[in-house]
Amino acid sequence: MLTKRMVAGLAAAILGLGLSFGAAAQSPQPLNVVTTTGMIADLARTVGAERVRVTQLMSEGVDPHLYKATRSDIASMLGADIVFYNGLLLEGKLSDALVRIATSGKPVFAVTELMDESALLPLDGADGHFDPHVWMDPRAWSKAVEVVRDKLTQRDPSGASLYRANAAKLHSDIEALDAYAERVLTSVPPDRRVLVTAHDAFNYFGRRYGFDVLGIQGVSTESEAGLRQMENLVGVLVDRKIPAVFVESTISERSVRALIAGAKAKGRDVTIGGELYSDAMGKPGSYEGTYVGMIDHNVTTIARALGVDAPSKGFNGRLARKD
Amino acid sequence: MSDADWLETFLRVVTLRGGYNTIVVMIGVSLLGVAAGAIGVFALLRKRAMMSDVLSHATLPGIGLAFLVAAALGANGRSLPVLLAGATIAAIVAALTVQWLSRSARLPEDAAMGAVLSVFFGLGAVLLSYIQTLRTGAEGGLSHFILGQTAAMSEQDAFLIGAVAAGVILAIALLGKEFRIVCFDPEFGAVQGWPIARIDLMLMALVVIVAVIGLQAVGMLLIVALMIVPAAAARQLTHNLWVMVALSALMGGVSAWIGAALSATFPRAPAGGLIVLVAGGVFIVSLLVGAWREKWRRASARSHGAAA
Amino acid sequence: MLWRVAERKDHVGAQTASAPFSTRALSVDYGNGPVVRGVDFEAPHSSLVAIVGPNGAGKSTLIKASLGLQRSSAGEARFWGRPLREMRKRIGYVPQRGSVDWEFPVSVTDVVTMGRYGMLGWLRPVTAAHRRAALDYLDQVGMADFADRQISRLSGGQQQRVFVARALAQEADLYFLDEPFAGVDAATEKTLVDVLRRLRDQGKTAVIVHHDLATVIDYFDHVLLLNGEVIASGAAKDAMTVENLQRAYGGRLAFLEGASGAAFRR
Repeated sequence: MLTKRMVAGLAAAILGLGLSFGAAAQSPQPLNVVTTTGMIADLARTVGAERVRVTQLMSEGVDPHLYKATRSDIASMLGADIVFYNGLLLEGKLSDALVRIATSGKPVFAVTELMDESALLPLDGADGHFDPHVWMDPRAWSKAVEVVRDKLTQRDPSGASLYRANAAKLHSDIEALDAYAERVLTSVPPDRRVLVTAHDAFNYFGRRYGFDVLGIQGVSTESEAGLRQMENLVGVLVDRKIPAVFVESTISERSVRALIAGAKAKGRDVTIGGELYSDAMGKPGSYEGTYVGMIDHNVTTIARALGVDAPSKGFNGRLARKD
Repeated sequence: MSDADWLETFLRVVTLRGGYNTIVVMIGVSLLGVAAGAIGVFALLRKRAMMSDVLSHATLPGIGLAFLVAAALGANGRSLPVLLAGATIAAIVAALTVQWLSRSARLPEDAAMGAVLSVFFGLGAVLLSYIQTLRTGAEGGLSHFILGQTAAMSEQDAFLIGAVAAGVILAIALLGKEFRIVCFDPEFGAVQGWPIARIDLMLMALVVIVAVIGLQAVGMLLIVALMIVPAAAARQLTHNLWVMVALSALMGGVSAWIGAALSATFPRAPAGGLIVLVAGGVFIVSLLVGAWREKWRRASARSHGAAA
Repeated sequence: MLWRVAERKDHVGAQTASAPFSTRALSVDYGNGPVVRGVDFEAPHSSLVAIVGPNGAGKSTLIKASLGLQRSSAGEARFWGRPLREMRKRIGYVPQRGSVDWEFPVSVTDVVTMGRYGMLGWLRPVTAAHRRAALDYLDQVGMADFADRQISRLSGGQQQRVFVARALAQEADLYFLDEPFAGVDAATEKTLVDVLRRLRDQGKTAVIVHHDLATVIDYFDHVLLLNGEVIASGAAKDAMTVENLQRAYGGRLAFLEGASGAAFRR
């Protein structure tokens, strides 16, 4: 005899089976996501988790300003379900390829161009153009998280809840990182808040944390460093008594070393405070190979070089120690 | 800054009262200009001016291969001596290939040079493209060999350039007659017993050395200009070989000096490009001076004839 | 790379084996067929030897191959019975005038001084003594007044004299001249013929590619008539027969009789 309980149980079982069948039938191929820089790839992997398979075109150490697409890159993008790139002309030599692929109907998105423009820094002297290095400001980069989440959801609505949850977690991680950075960097005495690097990649960082930012090369590494700029920077180093300058992982050290030699000739000893991740992240698989790790490394290195006693292992103890 | 400020800055810089970096760069590129100007005369007279172009471009695959080999062996791929060694070897191979193609395959020399330039440079481009995909990720420095990183010259770089320049000048002084006969009448020289092909290679070796040293300072494209333009300018002004060498060296050095000074005066002014522009200006002036002198000589010869 | 000093041998009362210049079965083939075929030839001592033949007969090629400037496909050339590399110091060469760029930035003296380079080893500079010698030889061809002139400002005849002076400066015993009288004025031709005769009287030999049939018998002692292969060789008077010329030149000789009728023998 069918009791109410048995019917309920049977219904639950059928429901359960149906749901699980449904789930199985729906357990999809992971979305094929192609990104240019590692910073964007890291976002996509974190937000998309197991629902995406991310292909990253530019590995660590690669300079996105100079990167030229290969045939296999084009093939990857053509075979993708969705393509994310930075935009604002960061990938200067890829624009033709990206335009071509976008016009072929593929979902191609520039994460910086879909953000609220108020988050962006205009370039002086170039109307309507913005500095592309948005990821240097975690608060601004959070907006990129939203872009990735929204576009993934658009493309794959059944993953909506997963994407939302992952994005929220990433948001709070980035917030914690930002809080750490603010705490540590505001401890740098105001007269030392100068960041001198190989190229002008840190303007967003400067805006967020109150630093003057100076690069030997301009916003793009395609331009040659000028002698006038070199002399000006030497003057700044000497006048403002800056203790350290920084090299970048994607750029040769020569120009920074020349800067130091120039300062030395004027009697000012400047050291290399460390290597920063500017246009690319650290080794894949390592902590520094993630967005959070990259910014953590930069912030910690800069602070320690400028005299702040920041924890050498970063804000969550995960930085590799360099002695 | 007002115009008066530019001028004041320029005058200060050009008299070696700029900053340390400026002084290092000015001295370094001037020595390079002297060496390039001197050897450029012989390349020009041997009708091999384009060889400096070929050899410069041919260094690219050498740099790429040196990088890959070093990285494979676990060493630092971006180490300068390693890359320059690769550049030198590639340029030498290119020089030998051109010689072989024009002798054995009986191609006219300009076709041989064009073929070698394209193939080597193409190979270099492929290698560089491959390197940029590698996870060792250090392509960043390699493409600067094409355009140069003049402002980043160090004291050691300048010393090296000086030593090379001295060596090149010494070699030219010692091998003056050998180079002269190979450039003017190789057939006659061969009958005298001079090994023409070997002397040609010595000449090309000096071109290679200047090209490789120039790669870091002003980049591949511009070291070629420094080896051709001052020599072409000097040709307009004299009919004496040694005067031509001296003038070419002087013009190369001065163009580099002024070009670097201009780069230190104005912001966002690439030194390499300015040096070549100054050299080009010197060439145009030489053309005009040479033409005017020729006219004057002919006129005075006519009037002497009429008077006689 | 320094040369061994070549021994100077006395060749008075010469035997065949030590003729100053001889070839045996010398052939040169560019791949389109032989240009020079099986040339056996001997230049006697103390003589002026003309090589004559139509265009494309291989006259220049014969000289260049003998001097190692072109590759021979068969046979060999010998100098006083020895190979070329042993005897270079005794050989002087006057290439065709068109083989150099006369716009080259050198003076007349510079060019003649090049003739002395063979006496200098590697890296050694030209000394004042050598320069004086060069000026001396320049004088012998009547160009002393042009010593400092740039070579682009010379007439054809003057250029030729400079080239000959350079060869004289080599102080050789055997000279090769490639079309030295082509396109020169009469005064130059006379001067150079006198120079050559003086060389011969000093016991030297000159082998000369000559283009002007009318003057062969007058200027030269011996003749090699060449059209790819040897048509005739021997004393100029004997070799320059109408029959030989006809064989050499095919139907291209229009003036056999008449103009210089007395110059040729049947």
